[in-house]
Amino acid sequence: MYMFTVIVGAGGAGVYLASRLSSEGHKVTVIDIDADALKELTKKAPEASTIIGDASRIEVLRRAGLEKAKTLAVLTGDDDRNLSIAMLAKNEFHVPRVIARINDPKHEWLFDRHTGVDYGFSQDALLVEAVLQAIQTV
Amino acid sequence: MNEINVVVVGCGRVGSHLADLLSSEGHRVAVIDKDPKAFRRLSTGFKGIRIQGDALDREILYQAGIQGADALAAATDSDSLNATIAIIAKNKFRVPKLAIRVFDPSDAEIYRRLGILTVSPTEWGASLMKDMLVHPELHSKLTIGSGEVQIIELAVPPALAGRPVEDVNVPREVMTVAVTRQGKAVVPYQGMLLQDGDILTLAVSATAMSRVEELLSH
Repeated sequence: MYMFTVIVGAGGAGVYLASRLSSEGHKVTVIDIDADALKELTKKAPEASTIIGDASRIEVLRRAGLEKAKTLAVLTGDDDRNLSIAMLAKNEFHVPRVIARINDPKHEWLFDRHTGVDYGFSQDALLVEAVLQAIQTV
Repeated sequence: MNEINVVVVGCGRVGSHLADLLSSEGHRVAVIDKDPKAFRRLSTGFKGIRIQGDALDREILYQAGIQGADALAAATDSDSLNATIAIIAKNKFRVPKLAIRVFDPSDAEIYRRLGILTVSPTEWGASLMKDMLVHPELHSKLTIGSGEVQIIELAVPPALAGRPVEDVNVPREVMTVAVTRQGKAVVPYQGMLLQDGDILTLAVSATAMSRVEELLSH
């Protein structure tokens, strides 16, 4: 089924997610403040739309068509930005599924419905889980 | 006066000044800043506690006493951090009173909708400076909300002496809240006749300052 996803942050994870989703035929829009990062993204995910701007600004989210998005993935390297963007997405745009990246494991407690986050993922925690699993299966 | 427990996040110029003011009035204040040098801005008389650390770290918030706090103010230099901290204080700790500083006036509107008292120095400073320049004689005694309503005082203009107090009022714009006659203030009644020498205390909408100018020029 066709889905519209907005991604904030054109870093490694954002680019990879955008190319995976668009190769499966989903509509994707990526927001980043850095025009060069978006240029790189277009090479790897040519079908994805891009918006240059600060995603914590409401008019930037509006330009990305966030009110029509089924999912928002907030993947910047800055936890307070990720949280404030998630809050705006939930309160102002009623995005059904808000997924946010947790950078500092100490901030994990903040990523829940109180801040508009449906799923929070910490890269460190995911990696540690995977490593532990690998150790145990050896 | 009742002393309250206040958490102030950000010990910059606004945060440190606020913390000093609250502390000097006897309130219990905890200030959080990630930069240990920021606490130098506090006055020597500051009696509250200083906590160096990340305000998004639960342990730091607990140390600041967020669980029993009556109020929280966030005045860091990041709008998004201020908003995030206020939302956490509101939704996770049920802190009853919240105030944040937001530089961008268009963001301020969004946070007000979330139920957070939002001060935008950009907006407020501009409106205050405009009034100082355009209406210099109407200096504000008090501002309400984020400056949308101003309380001002002025002497009854000669043209209004002998007229009922209602003549001064304009619905939604100007309201006479007190009349001071020979040093004694009263809340006016319907039909109260104004006299030469009376001082009027008016609540005026910030967008209606020119109305008061009109009154004065009569």
